[in-house]
Amino acid sequence: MPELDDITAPIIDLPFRFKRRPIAIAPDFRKDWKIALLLLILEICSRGGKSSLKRLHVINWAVRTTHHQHEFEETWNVDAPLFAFKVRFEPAFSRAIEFAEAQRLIAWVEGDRVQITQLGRTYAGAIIKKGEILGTEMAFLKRVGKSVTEFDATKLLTGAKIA
Amino acid sequence: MLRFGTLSISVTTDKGHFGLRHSFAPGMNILRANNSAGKSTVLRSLIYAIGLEGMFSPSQDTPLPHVLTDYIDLPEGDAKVSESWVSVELSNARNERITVSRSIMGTTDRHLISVRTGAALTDPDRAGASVDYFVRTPRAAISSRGFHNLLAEFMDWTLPKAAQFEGEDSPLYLETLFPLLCVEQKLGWGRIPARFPTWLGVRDIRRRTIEFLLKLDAYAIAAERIAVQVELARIRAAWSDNRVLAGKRATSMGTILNALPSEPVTQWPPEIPPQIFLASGRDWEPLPAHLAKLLLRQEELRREPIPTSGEDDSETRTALRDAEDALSQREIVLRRTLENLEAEISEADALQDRIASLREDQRKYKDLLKLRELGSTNSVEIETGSCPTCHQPVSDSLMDLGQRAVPMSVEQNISFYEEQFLLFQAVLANARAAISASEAQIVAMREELDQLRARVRSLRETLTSASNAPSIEALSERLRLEERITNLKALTTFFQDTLGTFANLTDEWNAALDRRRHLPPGTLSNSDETKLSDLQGRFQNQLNAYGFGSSDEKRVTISRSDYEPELTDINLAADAAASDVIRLQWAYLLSLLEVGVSSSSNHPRFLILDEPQQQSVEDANFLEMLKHAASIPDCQVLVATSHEREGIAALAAALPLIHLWELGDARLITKIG
Repeated sequence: MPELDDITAPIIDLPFRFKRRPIAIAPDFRKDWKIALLLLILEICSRGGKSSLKRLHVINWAVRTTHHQHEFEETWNVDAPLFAFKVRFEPAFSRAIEFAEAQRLIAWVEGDRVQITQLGRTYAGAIIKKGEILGTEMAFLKRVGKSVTEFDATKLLTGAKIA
Repeated sequence: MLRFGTLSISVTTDKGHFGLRHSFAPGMNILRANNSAGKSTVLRSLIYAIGLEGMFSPSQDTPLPHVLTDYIDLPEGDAKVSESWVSVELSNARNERITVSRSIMGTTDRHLISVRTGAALTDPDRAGASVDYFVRTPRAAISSRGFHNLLAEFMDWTLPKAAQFEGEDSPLYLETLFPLLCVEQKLGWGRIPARFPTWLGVRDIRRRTIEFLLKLDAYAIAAERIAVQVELARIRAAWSDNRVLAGKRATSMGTILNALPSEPVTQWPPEIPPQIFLASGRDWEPLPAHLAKLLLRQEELRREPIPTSGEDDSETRTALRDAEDALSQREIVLRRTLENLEAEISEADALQDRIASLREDQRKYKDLLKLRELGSTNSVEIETGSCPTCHQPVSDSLMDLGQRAVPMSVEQNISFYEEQFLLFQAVLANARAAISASEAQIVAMREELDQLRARVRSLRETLTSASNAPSIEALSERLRLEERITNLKALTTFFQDTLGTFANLTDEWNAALDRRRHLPPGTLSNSDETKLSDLQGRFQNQLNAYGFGSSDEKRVTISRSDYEPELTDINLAADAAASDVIRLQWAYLLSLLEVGVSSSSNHPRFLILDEPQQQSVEDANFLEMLKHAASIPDCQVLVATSHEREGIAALAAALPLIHLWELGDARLITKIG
């Protein structure tokens, strides 16, 4: 019977190599996804395709997951205490805004507002027309529509009860 | 087999009686006449007489020209048609004859076909009485009074069931088969191999019809394959139902059913036989062993007399203390198990949440792929791998991954999620199994606790009762034991019965697997293959003879999947010259007839071709086709043509097999009286 070393030695006696494995990331953190969402928020939920950053963040947080969507609608439609829905600024969304601007899909206007460009509108229009992509997100955004004003966004952020 | 004999068309008008009568001979019949003499009318009348005009179109209108339905134009003015009929004599392989008559115009219902046995046109004295059958009404195809049923029977056809696009199966309608036997002039040509009535909603119409006409085993093989699948699925469902039932019954008695395979197996009993276990404390004990212990104890008790309460006061006290200790200890164990169960349940819930969010993420990734596709068609390319402003490499992530980490590509990420999904599913299944085991254990523990409590109660009663009375504890122990034994015996019987069921299911499973093993590996049997290569050989030879020029005829083969001609290098319908499409159609239908005649088949051994010289096919090729058709033995071919008179006359003179019906410049429907 061979010694254990005889069997294992040839296998172990090899130069070691380390390989970096790519890591999995959530679809929310992909640029395409976030930018598409940003364009849809501007196109469906914003007057004149224009909005403040603050308001965009509020709606982004609301649309993120079905759970968030549910919480937001509870707060929005029902006369419930505001603490049910807590908004956070998502750094990934801020980056998506920067990328979108660099790609000329949106542009900064009036100093602190973001507006969708013609190119952005064409792309958003194509997504909306196709219908099947971002189905639940689109349905939510359409339900919300343009009803969230800048004033509401501030109130949602500061935690004041909506009248 | 079906053979057309004498045809009679009669038209009654306000200017007298018109009509025609002609006897078709066995073998090759050529009807030659100039254009618009009424050739198509004759051939269409044959089809109309047997109620098969539904193969041309779904319309209920009469597919015959105005000469038979409205007016006949005469030099002295139109003659108005008041009534018209078509009758034809048919014969079959046993040389039986029937005569069918159908009204074209007039007061008689066109959905009726009168049938008389015998040759009522040529030998009316010996013909039978007339009986009416239905055609082209709902359910006429399946009713016993439906004409097509009678016709199928007359041809010795047993029509198979065909799947419909909607609703339940229908018989393979005659309308679906006749396009391979009769090519109509206006719409029938130019379709390979034929123009099928798609409006009948029969699935796989092309394959089913050829399979039937050539009596291929393919259909039976396909049907058997489906039947076996259905049978396997049924057994699997029965297996799983019985298993769930047995599991529930076992759990309700505080026992657990172990090692019963979750899927049907081929060997019964399995190597590790299924068993019922009982929870005893934290361990599990097989049911027979436990039952044996109980029976032993019962035997012991039976042997000793029932003690009175006074006799063993101190003993009773000790027993009571022991029972109380055991009770509190068991209660602690139960509480712990309950806590465990709680944890297991919340773990399963968490897993379910995780699976749901994985599903959500999977959906998002699928959308992401579509978004990219949409972006590229709208010239919006978001993920380029570099910064749109400074063009330095940028990872496809909005999250700060640290300097060196690289995100997976979207495709990698999708398959990663897929794996995760499967993994979590498996973990969840495990967690659920653990939950049901814990539940069974808890049921068993509760039962044990109940018994302990009863024991404590009766011991106490024994201590307080009169000293000469029989010990209540001793009595109730016997009763408890009795009840427990009865229950467990019932469970044992049930378990044995269940095992019997599984043994039967295993037999059925093996039988079904055996049937599956006996299916041929492909879709065709050996005899099918012989017939199809025969068809292919004849088909290729004829293509060559008819001057097929679009490709080398050896490259046109018969598909083994749908039995249609296919070409290795070109798309037949699109690339073949129009005249070659006609040659393909001739060759295919005639080969089908030849194979039908020369092998065991359902081919009725006739072919009707209305004006086959389409798309300016060269005369020589056309005459070659007629010659070939005339050479096929033991069949009937009816061809109508307006080919020039001398050519046909010369052909008929050279080949005595051809029965020529030359009309010259006359019309077919003429004045009779």
